[in-house]
Amino acid sequence: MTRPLQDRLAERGRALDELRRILIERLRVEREPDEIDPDVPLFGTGLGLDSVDAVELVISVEEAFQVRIPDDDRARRAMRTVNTLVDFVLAQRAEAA
Amino acid sequence: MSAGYRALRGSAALADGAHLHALRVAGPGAFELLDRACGRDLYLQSGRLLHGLALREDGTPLADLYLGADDDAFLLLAEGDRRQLLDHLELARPAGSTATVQDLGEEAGVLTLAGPYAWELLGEVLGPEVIGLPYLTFMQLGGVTCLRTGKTGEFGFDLLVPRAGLPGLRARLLEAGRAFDLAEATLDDLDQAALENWFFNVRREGAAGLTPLELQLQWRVSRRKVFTGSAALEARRRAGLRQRVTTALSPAPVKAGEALRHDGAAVGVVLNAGHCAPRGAWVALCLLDLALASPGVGLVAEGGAPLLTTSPPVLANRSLFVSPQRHAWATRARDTFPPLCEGADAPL
Amino acid sequence: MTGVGAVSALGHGVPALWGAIEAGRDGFSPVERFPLEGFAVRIAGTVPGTSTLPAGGLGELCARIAWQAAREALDQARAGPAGVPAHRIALVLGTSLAAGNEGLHRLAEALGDLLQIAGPRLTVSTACASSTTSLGVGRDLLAAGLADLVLAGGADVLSDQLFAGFHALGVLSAGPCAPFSEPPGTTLGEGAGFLVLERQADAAARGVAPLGWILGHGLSADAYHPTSPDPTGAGVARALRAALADAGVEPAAVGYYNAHGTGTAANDPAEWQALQSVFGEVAARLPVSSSKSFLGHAQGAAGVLEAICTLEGLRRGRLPPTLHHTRPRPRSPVDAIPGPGPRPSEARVAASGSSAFGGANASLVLARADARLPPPAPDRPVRLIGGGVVGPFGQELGALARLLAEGRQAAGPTPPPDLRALLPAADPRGLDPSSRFLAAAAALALADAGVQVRGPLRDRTGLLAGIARLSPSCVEAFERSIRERGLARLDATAFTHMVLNAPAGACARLLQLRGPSTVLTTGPGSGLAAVVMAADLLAHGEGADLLLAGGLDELTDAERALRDGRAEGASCALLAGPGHLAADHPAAGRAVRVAGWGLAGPGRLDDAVAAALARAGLEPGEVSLAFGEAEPSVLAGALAPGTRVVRPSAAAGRADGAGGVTAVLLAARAIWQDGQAAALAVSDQGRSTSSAVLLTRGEA
Repeated sequence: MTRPLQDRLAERGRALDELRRILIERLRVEREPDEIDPDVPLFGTGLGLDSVDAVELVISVEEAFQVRIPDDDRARRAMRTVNTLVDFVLAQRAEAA
Repeated sequence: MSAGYRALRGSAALADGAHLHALRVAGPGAFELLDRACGRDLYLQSGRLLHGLALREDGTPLADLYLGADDDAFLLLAEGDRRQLLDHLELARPAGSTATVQDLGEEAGVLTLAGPYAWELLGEVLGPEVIGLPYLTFMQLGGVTCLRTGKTGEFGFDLLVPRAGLPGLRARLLEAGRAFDLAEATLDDLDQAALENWFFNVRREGAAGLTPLELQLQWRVSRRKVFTGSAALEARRRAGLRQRVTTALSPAPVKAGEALRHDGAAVGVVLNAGHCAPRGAWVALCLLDLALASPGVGLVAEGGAPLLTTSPPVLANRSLFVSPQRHAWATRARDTFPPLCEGADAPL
Repeated sequence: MTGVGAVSALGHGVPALWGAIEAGRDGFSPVERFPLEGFAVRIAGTVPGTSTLPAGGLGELCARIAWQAAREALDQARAGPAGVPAHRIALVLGTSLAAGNEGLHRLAEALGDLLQIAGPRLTVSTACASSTTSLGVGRDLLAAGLADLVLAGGADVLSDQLFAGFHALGVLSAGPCAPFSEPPGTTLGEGAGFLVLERQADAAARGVAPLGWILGHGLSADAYHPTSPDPTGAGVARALRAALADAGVEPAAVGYYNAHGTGTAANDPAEWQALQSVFGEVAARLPVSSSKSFLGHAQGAAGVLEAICTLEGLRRGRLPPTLHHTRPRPRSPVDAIPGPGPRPSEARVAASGSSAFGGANASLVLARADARLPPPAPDRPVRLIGGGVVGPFGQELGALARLLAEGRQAAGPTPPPDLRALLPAADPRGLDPSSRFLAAAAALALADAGVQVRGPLRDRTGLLAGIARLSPSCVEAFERSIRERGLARLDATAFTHMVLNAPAGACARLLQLRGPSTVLTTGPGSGLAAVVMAADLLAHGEGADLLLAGGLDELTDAERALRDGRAEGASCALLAGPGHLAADHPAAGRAVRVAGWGLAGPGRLDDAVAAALARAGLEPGEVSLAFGEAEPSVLAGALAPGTRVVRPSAAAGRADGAGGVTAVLLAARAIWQDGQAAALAVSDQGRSTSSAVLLTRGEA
């Protein structure tokens, strides 16, 4: 594995852990962090969050990652799974940097 | 792109649900039986459905289940080997229970309707009540048990229909479906859609001898209760997870069974693959070493195809943006929706 | 209805309200009452001239507009002090928050004092359905003879917390609320509205002409989600069907529907779905409009303000339109009466509905003064068939009875009930203590009676709860989120728990009870008032076969540590109408007859007891045992000398919500266990209401 890839995967791992922490502490997901699989759907099936949770998730992610999640199509696509949300957050950060 | 797939992603598609088995479990001890046979905590409000999983003793999946409850019985709509599932349920029976497990296959068949406007078509055929039917709920309508389900990423309904009424309902859906550009989809079309949308396919990756830990299906198993396969899962957890399924895309053909390399080293294998027409790419479900089981990793398949791992779903499904509350098939031209993927033609 | 009064975004007084409707002018303007920093929405429908609050703040504003609207209604009905005796006048106030998180019943008490209303003063709090329900409760009080004149309505004012909560939920529209039209979203409002209600004969005797009639009302629970309406509209349809049945009106006779019509993407299609299922083919020709396009969403006052729009429309033969209806959504009313002006109409009968957080639905059927009235409601027998308790004494009524007999107080806090054991298929995750207590007591009551609620019976089983305050742990979570994150980023989930009926909604959801549901509060003694209303609804109303009447208390950490004699927990009594239980049912053998009930003003317990005795056809001397929080001396006038009064609080601790229900269950136990022929449950606490429920030995 190349160094840049290692760094990228490590950064991703940290973001994933942070998001898992938010899901457990703020969204009341009753699971251990390593039971929250990265591709698991957030809403409906999977973790089973609902529209009210979506608001809390946006606020918590914005706060924790210092990013802005706009209320648009892009956010809709970002809010599908744990991984798609991590993708979004990392892309926002990269843009900001 | 097949006509069935096109309809599935753009309007509404009708498929035969022969791969689905409907069972009815009732009587004393029925809850306990299912509680043991299914890995999930059975929080089953009347009219709701749970997406669950039945595991073998070794922790590998045997059937992909929708479980519903009404006041008299539990309804199962299962994908997997019917015979094995019946045996599995029998083994989960608590001592002394006289619960009955009834295979509904004799008396009823299943039709599957899916697509961004499937709800509207079904509303015209069965009545407006189904339009607002929330995901993972079910209702009875004119003798049809209508389950709001689906493993395609689109609005989906599985319709449990008495055998005698099956041809009639099918004909009515096809007839009313003409105005919706309905086409008939095959099981291959459904499987491809499931792959693109990261729905577990018990007939494909489910047959690879993996457990919910590698398959990223931990959300479908409880850690609070004992069930068939729970001991094997705990043992695997203690031993430590070494691999995980991850989705990847490739511009070149990829097929199931191909070995995968990264930096020259063997790192995994393709479990399931197919062509994703809207993206013009092949999508593959790969089993990868845990360190690489993450989006953004380059791989090379045995046949030479380059792959890049990604976060599924690989499409921005139209159903994500179509709202039964605000949209209609008739107004689709003036309703604006994002493309299915960057660079894809907007209308299918 | 003989008097009507309203203060709203459209101005002070009913003439101002109707004038704006005639002119097609909404009441929306930029909010000046509080800063809007961080919010994407800037408008609301506030009462004109209230951008600066009075010295007493929002509470004072709420009381002032309530007083104004009440005064207008009473003046129109010429119901001055000389008319009806003060103790025969009742006040039923619907409010969601009444501008505060504590002591919801106090607004009704203050208003009652100001207006010299000395009869029962009830507060109904089912969020946005509060005042629709309060009008129905008012109608029922008259039908039951518990008052001769009722002032019924509601009041709520717009606070920054409410604005922030709805904003966080993403349901506010940037522009003026456009029900059934694009773009979706609602606009908040505020106001107060009251109707004076009287029986036909009483009004005629006073020489007051009716403005119109409340023909019927209906309630239901969605049992679906804390905030989202059931998208199939089934809950709204159940309430509407119950109201039509109560009114004895065929759907085809309804000439106008005043919708809840908030404008949100979740509400409007669900409501239209309900109308289609109730009205069938006729729905396509039914004029349907939403007055929220003028008023905004006035929360607890919405239902009465919309009933007033409906009544005024019927009286004038001009149906109020829907404003801003420019781009109809696909699944919305065919005839939404697009504005700007009202439409001439011959409609005699109209219906109106409200839906609330917690999944509570309420419907009303109103009629013009010249409409035909339904025959008087039937009077059916009511029985108590089971009970469930959760308290510091455990989950056994027998344990409490033993403590009482031994003169001992239960020690220690109430252990949290194990819901997984009681309701294995119900998802208990994320439930607050209040919801857990109430759901546990309800499940225990059903189990005690051996009743399995299933199939169509779910639609006919409901829950009436007496709750004295919001769940303190929910209030704490909500306030913490504002403190830590600011109003613009408050915790939306916590906000959804900030309605008094949240635990009742959760309980209905967990047990899948879809029949009538509402929440009453009278401060201490709330639970007994709920039992009275449940008994009355089963005896006279439509839509229910079984009703759980519950009471609920949750303490703060600080209060728990104080150990000052207050207790937390819940109690539920299961009441049944006739014909539900077969004679060989296990619960039938020890069924206790709910023979009489009464409500009266504060300090008038003797009136309430007299009403209960009269209804039961018993003489004072035939009752020698009472349970409840009351001075024996108060009962001296109403019951025979030597009557024993047992205070449940002596063993169970003081419980404002549950105490009254516990008293009823102890009275029932005294009958089936100890062989008493009759026993009373009474409450003489607080400044809202005195209540009495009389139980007798009764065969199935």
